[in-house]
Amino acid sequence: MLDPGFWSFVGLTAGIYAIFALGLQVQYGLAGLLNFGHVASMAIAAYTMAILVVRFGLAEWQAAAAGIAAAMAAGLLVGLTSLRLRADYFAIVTICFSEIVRYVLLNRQDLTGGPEGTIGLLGRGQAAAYNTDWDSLIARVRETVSSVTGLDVSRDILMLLLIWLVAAGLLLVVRRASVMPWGRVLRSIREDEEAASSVGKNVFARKLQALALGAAIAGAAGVLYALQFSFFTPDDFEPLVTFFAWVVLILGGAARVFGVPLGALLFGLLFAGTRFFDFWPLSLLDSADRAYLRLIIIGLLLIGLMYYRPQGLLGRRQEMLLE
Amino acid sequence: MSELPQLIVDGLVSGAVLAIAAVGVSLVYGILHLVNFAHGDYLTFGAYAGLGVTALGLSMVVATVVAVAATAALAVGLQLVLWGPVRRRRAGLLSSFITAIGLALVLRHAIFLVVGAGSRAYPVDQFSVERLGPVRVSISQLIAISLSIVAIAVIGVLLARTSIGRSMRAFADNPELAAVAGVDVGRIVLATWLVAGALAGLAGELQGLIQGAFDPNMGWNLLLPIFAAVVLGTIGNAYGALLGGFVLGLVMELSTWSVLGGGIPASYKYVVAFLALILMLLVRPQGLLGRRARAL
Amino acid sequence: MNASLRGGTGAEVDRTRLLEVRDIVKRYQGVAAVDRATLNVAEGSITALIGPNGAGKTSLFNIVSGFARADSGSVRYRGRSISRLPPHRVARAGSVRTFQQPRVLRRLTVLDNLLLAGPRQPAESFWRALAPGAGRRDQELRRRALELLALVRLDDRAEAYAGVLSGGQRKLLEFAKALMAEPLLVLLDEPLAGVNPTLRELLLQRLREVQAGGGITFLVIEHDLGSVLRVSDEVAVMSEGRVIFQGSPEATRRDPAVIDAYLGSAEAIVASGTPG
Repeated sequence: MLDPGFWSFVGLTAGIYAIFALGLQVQYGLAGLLNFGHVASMAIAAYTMAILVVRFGLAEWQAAAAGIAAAMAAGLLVGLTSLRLRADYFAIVTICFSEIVRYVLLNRQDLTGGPEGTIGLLGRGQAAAYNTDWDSLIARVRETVSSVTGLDVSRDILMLLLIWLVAAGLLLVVRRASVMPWGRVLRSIREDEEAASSVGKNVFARKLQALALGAAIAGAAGVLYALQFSFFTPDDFEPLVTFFAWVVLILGGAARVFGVPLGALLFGLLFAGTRFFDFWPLSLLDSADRAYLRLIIIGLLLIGLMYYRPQGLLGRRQEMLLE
Repeated sequence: MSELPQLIVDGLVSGAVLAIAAVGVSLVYGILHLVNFAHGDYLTFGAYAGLGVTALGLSMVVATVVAVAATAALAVGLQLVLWGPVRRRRAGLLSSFITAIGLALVLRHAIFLVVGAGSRAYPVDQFSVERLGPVRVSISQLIAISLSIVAIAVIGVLLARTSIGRSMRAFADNPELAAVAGVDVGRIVLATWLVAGALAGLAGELQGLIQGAFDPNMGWNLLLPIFAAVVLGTIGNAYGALLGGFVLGLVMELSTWSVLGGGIPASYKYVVAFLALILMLLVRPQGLLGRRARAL
Repeated sequence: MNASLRGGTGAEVDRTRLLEVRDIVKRYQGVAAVDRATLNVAEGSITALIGPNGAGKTSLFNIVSGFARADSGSVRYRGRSISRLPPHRVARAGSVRTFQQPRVLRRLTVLDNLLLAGPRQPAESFWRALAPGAGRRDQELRRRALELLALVRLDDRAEAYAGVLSGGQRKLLEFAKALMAEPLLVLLDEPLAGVNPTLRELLLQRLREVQAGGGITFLVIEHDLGSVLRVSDEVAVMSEGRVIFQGSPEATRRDPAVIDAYLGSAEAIVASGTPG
């Protein structure tokens, strides 16, 4: 329980999911878009960055920016083609889009390294890395910190700080915009598109913007994920990850921007907890079985939450009743 | 040149499984307005129920009966303990989506917990192949084809000729009107789950057969192609779902036909299915059999 | 485009024709909901649009406000064609509609419902919303919004969710919301339906006041003939998709075609002749 490795894992998981789910918060919490393919943005950003660095020799920061831009462009593409569809169709189109992305990543081995992941970006027999500059930067920061303060700060702690700094910055930006007229327009669209257009709001353009902004935020989460873990495969971006973002959003209460970090922390605890806890009776199960159990618990939690507290832990019950 | 007929036969076989599963999803959507993300895992449940029976040394016939009955029981049971109460709470679109996803996670990983992650197969000789003219058909495919024909005939008779089937279709078409006409909603809902569950059980077993080896992810992986078939054939329309399943099965297999610029690699089968779905939604959102909705 | 629509060019705009509807046809599945309807709305007037159920009044509203596209015919607003504009462009040009079933935004507060409709809000842009002072325009709008809420006696509900309002209060909120947009033309779809008699009188009184205050023209669909004939300057009567008559309220009561179209409710028209 006091293992620092456990807590930094919780913090890293929660931080990345906080950013990732914040993108969904913009799309669903504000604009009411049922995006069930959110993970595609993360995958596109992470892979674009890795491919541009390894195969095209771009600087890492340029590749990271390009990754986020690519996620945003993909969001625009999905929006332009599918935003006019009914909500349930839109949900199905987005989840299919995210699976198309994953299948292409799995199968274009020549471009992506295929199922073996980014380590195979240069083909078999050569281990590819896309974040060497980043890692040496972190190493320099660690040296500087230890020479100035005498403290040995681990890589994970530095990443933890960075990720939560980004999360806090993005949260404040989204929070600020959402209490301003910008957010009011999106909430009005979530409530009733025709009513919003009857007072002069361009519903399609607004939804497209929310979708692209959410995709860019998810792209940032993808870049941070890639930097933290130094390696990933297409299966890191399966639909389950999108559902986890929904768990985070719903735990916190979809209509509350500040519900996102709370939801992410709870989710991080649950996610990491079931991985690290090995005391009795969990010690009777092997690690694979504990992973299944974890997902069963998350599933039951979703069902229970939707049944007993659909407005989330921070949400107002009254708002749900007005739906 | 036996490639084309072979692809057509393969397409019809995988299409039949999609079609059988899609009818259930479509009925559930039409009658309960529920997009059941857990439906794929109902298939997996059926496949393993059948496998359990064959492990006892019983025949595939018994296995099929058990798979169908057990999955139907699961579907009805879940209606009683989960969907019924959720419906009474008047859950919104998102709530029911998330509940279904939660259920999918629970079912799939419970199956993982019980049977483990390894691949299994039915005790059917995977390598024995019959030649029918230019086409090679495996024993599994033959079983799948014959059972599908029976199942589709039964569905057809059920929906077209029985009173419960007719009320189900009427209800899916226009719930208000059907309710006014004195249709017993509770009975319809249970009948729907019974049919959808039975079909899911059968489809699960058939998918396990034609796939050869399968693991607990099987149904989940098949969920989106099933959805694609449902939407392709007009969501909520049972006959449309049958058609959508076959069309999708054929499209998926024929996309690999070498005459089409060398064909698309088989590993892109699902990509083709999803693209077909997205294209369909953009061009003809009402589906193959749907009427264009009236504006405003 | 919006600016030129709002500003107009002055001289050649015919003041008697703020809105000109010409030969509009709209079919749904082969059935003509609107069948060559022609209608003029004079600037500064309250024009009533009456007619039996299914006459095509709301369909015509949907076309004029951009929510539906006519199969043929033209809609000109301030001398310019708006037939092909999407609804938000029509609204921004100063022609704002309400809905028969009030479409208030239930999970926004009553005040936010009004603020949303306020014109010229730079902080509706994402980047401007982040800039310092982005909330300033809201302060100006808030004053106007509270005045309008007082006008329809909803000022004590400003901070409540609009979803808790009664049906009649929602109608009033829709009315206030339309005015908040600083419109030139307001299309009211049955503003009195479902509103209790006290609120009804209030709404009619406000309608008159606002119109007398100048600048705003009203086109009103209403079934309560007594009320509507009392406050309107001009009446257009629709039947089976066409405008069969347009003229003064007095002329309407006497017109045989109108009485014919309203056969069953002829007494209603005669009864409404008694000044209120």
